[in-house]
Amino acid sequence: MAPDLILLDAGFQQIGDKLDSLGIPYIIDSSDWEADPMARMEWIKLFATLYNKEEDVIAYFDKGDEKLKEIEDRVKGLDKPKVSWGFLITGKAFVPYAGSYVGKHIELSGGDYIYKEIGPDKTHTATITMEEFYTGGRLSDVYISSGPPAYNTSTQDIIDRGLPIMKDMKPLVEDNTWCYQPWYYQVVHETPEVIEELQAILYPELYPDYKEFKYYWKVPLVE
Amino acid sequence: MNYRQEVATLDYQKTLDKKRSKYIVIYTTITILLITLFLLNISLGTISISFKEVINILLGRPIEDSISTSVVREIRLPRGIGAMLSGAALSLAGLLMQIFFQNPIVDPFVLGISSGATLMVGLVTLTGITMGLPQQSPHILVLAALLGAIIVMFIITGIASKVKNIITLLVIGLMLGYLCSAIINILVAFAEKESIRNFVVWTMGSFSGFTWDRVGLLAGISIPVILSSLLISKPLNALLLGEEYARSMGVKIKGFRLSIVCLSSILTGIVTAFAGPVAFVGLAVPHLSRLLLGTDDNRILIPGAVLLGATLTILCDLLARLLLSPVELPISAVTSFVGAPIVIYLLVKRRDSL
Repeated sequence: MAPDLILLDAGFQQIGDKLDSLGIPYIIDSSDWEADPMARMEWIKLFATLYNKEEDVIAYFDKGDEKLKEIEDRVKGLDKPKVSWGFLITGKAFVPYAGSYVGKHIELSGGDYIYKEIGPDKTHTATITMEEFYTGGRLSDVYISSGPPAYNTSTQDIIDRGLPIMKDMKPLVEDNTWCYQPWYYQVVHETPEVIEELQAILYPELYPDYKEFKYYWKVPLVE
Repeated sequence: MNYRQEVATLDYQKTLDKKRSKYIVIYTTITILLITLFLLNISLGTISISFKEVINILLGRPIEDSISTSVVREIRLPRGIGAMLSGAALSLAGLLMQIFFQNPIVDPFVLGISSGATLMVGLVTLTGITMGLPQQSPHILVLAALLGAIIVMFIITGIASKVKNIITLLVIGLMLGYLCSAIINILVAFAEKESIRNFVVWTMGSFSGFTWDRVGLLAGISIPVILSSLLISKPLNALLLGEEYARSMGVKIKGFRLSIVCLSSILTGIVTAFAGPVAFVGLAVPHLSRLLLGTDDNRILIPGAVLLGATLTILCDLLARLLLSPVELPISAVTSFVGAPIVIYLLVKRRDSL
């Protein structure tokens, strides 16, 4: 193998030294660390240069940018639904920092992020106490479990990963718990559509015909 | 008895009484500290609940805010009790191992119990082997850890019954640990990012996953084992003077060695299954107990290590929850940060050797 170029995830930067010594050119992809969703999506412009598709992609990006503004305007002045978001592993709760792109997704879609006080200037994820997770999340309108359906087979599955007390969390009782589709992380280029779908979850009355969920999956309620 | 003998007996009695009083004072102090820390642990947290409310909740009296009742009863209480029992169990397991190997730098994980648990959790999270349970079942990590600990425990007890030299057993335990680590490293090299995240989270250890069911199981196993250890404190004292001496005192060495390995492995295995690997407690608390109590007598040390282990662990859990609240710190980082300076301070102050 003699690659012309290697795309390196920012988490594996240390491999860069080895690639330097071997004389292999590489690009470090830090898109995951972008706090702004559109900045994250903008990385497609860089990738487009590798395939001489810059002009097409710039037009595609600008169109997405306009669409996002429309999505944002659609819910201006409406009451914001409360959103809890996170992932549970053996009683530990991981939630996105308010300053992360997830926090921005919630904001742009018109949601009120329950954990907005946690790391407004930070990207990525925080490990918080179950108490914080539960007391915040119990009154939220929607809960998004940031994992694929295999880790969210039912609301009972989510409770088992957390604590039994979570059984009275409003979104788990009222059948408003969602998780990511398995390809969620592969659709960064469809960021405005992802945010629009989140808005359809938060404001179902605005999207009466929205039935085919492409990016999120409703976790079955088990009573 | 002549006058001199009478004086000597009286002096000895006085020394004994003095020592007994000292032990009572230390036990009482640690117990008060433990109760205080436990109450603090269930009183302090993200949501503010007054101490009076906490007491009312504990006494089963109704209070206005039902969320406070739920948080105290369903989150803080099982976690606090789980942390105390885990600390007590790990400290005792560490003490037993240090006596068994006559080596002050061994901890409960030296026999590879934690490595076995980690390997099984690694197999499940990194490769997707599910042991018949639905893939990604939330209970699978606990079961995997328990199974890993039990498998290594059987291997170790099997070897312990055949190997005469305890240093050989120590080296075998270390080798098992290396072997498990090597397999884990290979699994990590081929694993997906998401799986590695789950695995790393488990290895950081935490008491946050304790539910009443798990506390019940931990208590049901660890308390009888702790009480059994008290029953063997005399032969343990004999073992401190060497196997030959213990044998001359009527201790059946082979069976006794097996029982020490079993008791320590059960305690380590059950805690690791529920809380993941918790560093430092099992190594440091036996030393702290020796330094505080000033004795090697296991009749005194065992209750001391159990009480001190519970106290130090619940303090560390409180700090892990509160220091950067609402962000929670990994428990092993806190136990090491809190425990190491205390041990160094006491060693320097007392100028004692271990």
